[in-house]
Amino acid sequence: MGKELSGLQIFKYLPAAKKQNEANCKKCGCMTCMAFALKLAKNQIAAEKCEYVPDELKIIIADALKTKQHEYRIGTENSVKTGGETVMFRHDKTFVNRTVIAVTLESKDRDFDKKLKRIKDFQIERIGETFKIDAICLKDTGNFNTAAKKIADEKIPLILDTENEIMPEILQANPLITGTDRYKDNLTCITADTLNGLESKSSEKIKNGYEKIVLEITMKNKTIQEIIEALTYIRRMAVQEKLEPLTFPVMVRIPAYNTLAETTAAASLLICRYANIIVLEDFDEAMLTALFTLRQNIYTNPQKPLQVESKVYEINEPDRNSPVILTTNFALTYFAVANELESLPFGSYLVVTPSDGMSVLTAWSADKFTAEIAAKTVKKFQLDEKVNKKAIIIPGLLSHMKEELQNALQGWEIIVGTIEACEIPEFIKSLNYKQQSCSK
Amino acid sequence: MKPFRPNLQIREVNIDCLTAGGDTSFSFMKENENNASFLTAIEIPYIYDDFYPEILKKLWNADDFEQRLKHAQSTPADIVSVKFNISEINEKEILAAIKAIEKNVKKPVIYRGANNSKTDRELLPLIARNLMHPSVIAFGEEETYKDIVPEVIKGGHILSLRSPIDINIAKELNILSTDMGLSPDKILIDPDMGGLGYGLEYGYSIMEKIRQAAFEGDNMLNMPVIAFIGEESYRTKETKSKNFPASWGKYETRAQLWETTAAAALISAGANIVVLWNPENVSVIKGLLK
Repeated sequence: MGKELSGLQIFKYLPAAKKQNEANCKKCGCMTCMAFALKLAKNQIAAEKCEYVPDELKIIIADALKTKQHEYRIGTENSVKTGGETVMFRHDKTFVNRTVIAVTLESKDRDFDKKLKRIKDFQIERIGETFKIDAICLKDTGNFNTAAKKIADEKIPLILDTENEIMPEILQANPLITGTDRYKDNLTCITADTLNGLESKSSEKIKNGYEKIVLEITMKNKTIQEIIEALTYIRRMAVQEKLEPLTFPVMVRIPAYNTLAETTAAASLLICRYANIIVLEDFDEAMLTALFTLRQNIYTNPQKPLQVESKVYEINEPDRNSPVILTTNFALTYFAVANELESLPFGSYLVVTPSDGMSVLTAWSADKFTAEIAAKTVKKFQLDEKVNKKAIIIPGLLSHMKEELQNALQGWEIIVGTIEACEIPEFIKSLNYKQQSCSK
Repeated sequence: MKPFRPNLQIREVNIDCLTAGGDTSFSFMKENENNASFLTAIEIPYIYDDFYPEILKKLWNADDFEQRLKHAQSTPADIVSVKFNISEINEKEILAAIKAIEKNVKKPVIYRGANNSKTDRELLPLIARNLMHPSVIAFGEEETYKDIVPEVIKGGHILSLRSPIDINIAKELNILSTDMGLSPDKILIDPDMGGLGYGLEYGYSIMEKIRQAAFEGDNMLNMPVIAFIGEESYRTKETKSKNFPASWGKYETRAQLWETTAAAALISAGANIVVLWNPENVSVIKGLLK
């Protein structure tokens, strides 16, 4: 149940597979039953086109077409997507829409403007991506619509926590609404403190014609263990069983714990384990930076070989006396080396070759790391103008290429480095690179 | 709700009075009477080298090794881990260090090598030979396990086996070590790790895959998993450098939370033991079980 259908699975039910007289009758417009099955699996043709489709298959197809988890947008201009997840583990395929990270603001807060500015100004850049706070959860403590308008004007997506009426203008900003269910056409959050409560409330809303639903499990009187457990069940019921009342994005409001570290630990778990939206009471830049970084890691598509740009990475503000290290552009190789270089008390240049995201030995055996490629890269980025000592440290795994590289890189000394990245710092220190105008 | 039914549970490895593993479901799930809980270890270096962050030195406030051991013992961590971050082996010195550990630490101990196969090949058997109590030896890897396994067996120790973020090598190392006579109940899997923002997701997914394989019945991948996330966390620039824009927050806070976040994530992925460097994170991470 709930699995994606393959053409072959469908074919089993068709006349050709059953060797019936109607085999490959072409009435559906396809040349063969197999062709029909393949199209049907991709949802490119209607099952009704074939009059021989048995009821059993119709049920299976209807089930396959059901949504695992609905996907919605919050906001208009800078909207964020939430939901749409299809798997339990990122390695099964990938997680799709990053956890929405929202922070709480009270509508009548004395420092409202100041806090809004702080939220607006938060911005970090990591591996070429820029992250900002995804949404503000506005708590009604008075002057609600005025406060909501201020946030909407900043084009920050809104989660509205109010029992009162909301101005049409604010509703147009496509908020997520929690606290009242009077706006049937808007994205509405339903809240319960048990799984069964949530399921029955959700069923009721579906019956009453609500189409855009977000589920919230409250953390009141609950441990983080119980919350993770509930979220895991919800995700299972959604992606494995397609149990309709639970096929919606899930929101969790994280209370302020005694310490920032405790809040951070709880939020980290929720990013990994199935919260589609988290709302934080605390606002702290260091915590948010850590959470955004975790979210970027977890939501990276594991099916795409991760590679970094081929270029010269300047680590810890290198100068003319800094060492030059060469490696390939497989992200993990890059991070391993860059991380070691960052731990050095002086700067360095990391030259990364264009090697289709392959690790050192793989790239070498696939001819994606050759002396020519290495020489071209070094020339292209004008390394000779960056350093006094013309020496390049190559990966220890490529020691056999020393001579070849020496010939290709005239004027440079080739130094065979270590096999393991973790041995790089010791190795470089042994080469007597000195700490110069160090930033640390 | 249909509970998840594994074919096999995670192996229980007894470390002195503690048990790692035994999970019958994914972390935080109580189905199948899953009572397993993760363990925390606090790791200190034998010596302060250039790579050991100033911010942690301040927290320990102990320039002397014995003093550090006492402080580590007094944290709420379940286990104390000592990293022998040395490059030359001086037998007398090592034996004295072991004595100091045995005198000051009344918890199970992880004896860690230097992360250098040449050193560890000699150092770890030397340590394993000279311990009074069965302990955890970390780590054996493809290049060194053959030299380490025999002494680990003789001493009744537990061996942590490190593979380079590769589930196949993890399994192969377990098979090869058990072929040498090491009991599978004396093995911890260390799948290696990148820090937060430095490829954490690779190790994270390997952990999840190992756990899935174990639940599906693979008895050469059902050993408890250990994550040396403290070391990886305090290698990153985010924990070492103040040189970041204002949005990256206060340095002291970031330097702690970088480890908190990574450790919590790995526990959700199925780490049975997390080895931390920041003593302030021990109670935070333990608190996730409350």
